[in-house]
Amino acid sequence: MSRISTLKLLRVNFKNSFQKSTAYFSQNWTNLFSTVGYTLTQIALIELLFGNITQLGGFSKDEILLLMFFGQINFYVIATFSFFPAQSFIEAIAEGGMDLIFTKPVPPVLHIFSNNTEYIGAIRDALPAILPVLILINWSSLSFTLLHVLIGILVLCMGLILNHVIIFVASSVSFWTGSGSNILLTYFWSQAIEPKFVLEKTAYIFRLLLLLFLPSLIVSAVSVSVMLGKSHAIFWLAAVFIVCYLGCMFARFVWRRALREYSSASS
Amino acid sequence: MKRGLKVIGLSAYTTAHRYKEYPIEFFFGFFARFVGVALLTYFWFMVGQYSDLTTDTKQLVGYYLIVSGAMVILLTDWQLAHNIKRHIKFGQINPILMKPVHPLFIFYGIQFGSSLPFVILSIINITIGTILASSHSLNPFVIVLGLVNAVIINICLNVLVGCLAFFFVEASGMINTANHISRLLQGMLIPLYLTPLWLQNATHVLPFGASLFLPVQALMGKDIPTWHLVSGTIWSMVLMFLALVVWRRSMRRYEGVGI
Repeated sequence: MSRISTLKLLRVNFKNSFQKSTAYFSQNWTNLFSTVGYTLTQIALIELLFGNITQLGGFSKDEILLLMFFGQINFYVIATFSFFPAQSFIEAIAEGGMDLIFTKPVPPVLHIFSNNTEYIGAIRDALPAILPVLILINWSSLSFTLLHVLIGILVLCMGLILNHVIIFVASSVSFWTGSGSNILLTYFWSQAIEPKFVLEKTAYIFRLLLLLFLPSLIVSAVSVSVMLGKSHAIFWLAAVFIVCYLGCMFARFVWRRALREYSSASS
Repeated sequence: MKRGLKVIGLSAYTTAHRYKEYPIEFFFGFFARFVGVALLTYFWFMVGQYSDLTTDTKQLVGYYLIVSGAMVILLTDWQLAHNIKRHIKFGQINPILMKPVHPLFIFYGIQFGSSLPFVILSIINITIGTILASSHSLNPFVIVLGLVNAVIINICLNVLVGCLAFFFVEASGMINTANHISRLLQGMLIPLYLTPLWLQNATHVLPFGASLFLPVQALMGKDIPTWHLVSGTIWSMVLMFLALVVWRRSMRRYEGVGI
């Protein structure tokens, strides 16, 4: 049987995901309420906090809202394309579902991660979370330069890739341990808090340690800091690129070792 | 009641036993919560140190250590509601309903067992937070009353929201909505003493103030107005009655194989 093309696979998985997401339409409404509730409470937190202070670590209210904006983007991209598919990946490893996937003429990792991606859910959940923050930011109070914004976006993209790589490696540990949900949960907790993290006042060594263990901070704290000109843009671009490249190489290495480790009834 | 408590212990033991088979899950469960607590505490340390807030940093850090510990023990994380919803949704409630004991004892036991790594860390957090931030004028009566009211209120709120799974196919979104709103009103997102006075009073008129903020303040040795304690006690009785009524009504609607 000839290998199915990547585009065709993605098209089929998208259609499958759409049908699953719209099967129980009330779920969409309840999740929408949940997302709106979360966003409103986070905005209320920022408003209440800045009712008592004028700046946090040198960041004004609008700059903290910008941090929150990119933190939300990071959260929904990672949740949609990495975290929830990774949970299905772990289940497939633990329950022997990988056997069926390996027999299919498709790239196994791409199939697992795209088959369990909730595209409609992502749009439904992300838009109400991101749009209010976008509207509330007073953009005229923020100072950007084009170069810094472009470098910041590059840092953000590489940060997203690095996040995905780490989640993939964390879920691949299931090939050895049989169960890895809590490993993912460790990473998930960091996504929940980091949107409001300001690194500028943190001691340099602690900053490096945080970034080493929680590279999700790259997407919000580092990229926003670069965009606003508060950090050395070229340094962070180079550093994040090197870490991202090494991360991808490590993920390939882990996948190859994991395949050697995998055994089940039919393989 | 005695049988119920025995059932809680047995359910908790059975659920926690899975960590023996997957010890790495225990370790990472503990580590996951540790990371969350560390980041939350560090964020409020930054607020205390690097902003123009007049509140003592030690008080803020101590407050959040106690809050992050109390969240698990007082069931403010809504995991009990998610547990109930999961059992209803997948039909796993059927064998529980057939047992000669109230199902809520079993649910509570399962919840306690699965959150065992978190409970250990919670006790550590509460101890460190209390040492860091409490004054020396702790009132044992207020602490015990505050904790008892908080546990009852939170269990009842979890049951009330978890019962939505009897009426809706997918109730996760509703549980999450309740979680987000309660996090603000209970003082988890921001200490209530940093919010406007009208909001503080509103949370104590409603059950949210007594469900987390009041016991945390009691553990920190703060003065608690009498009407806050009275409000919490009244709400714990009202919610207990409501939870039992709603549970019975929900059971009448429920249909399952063999029931």
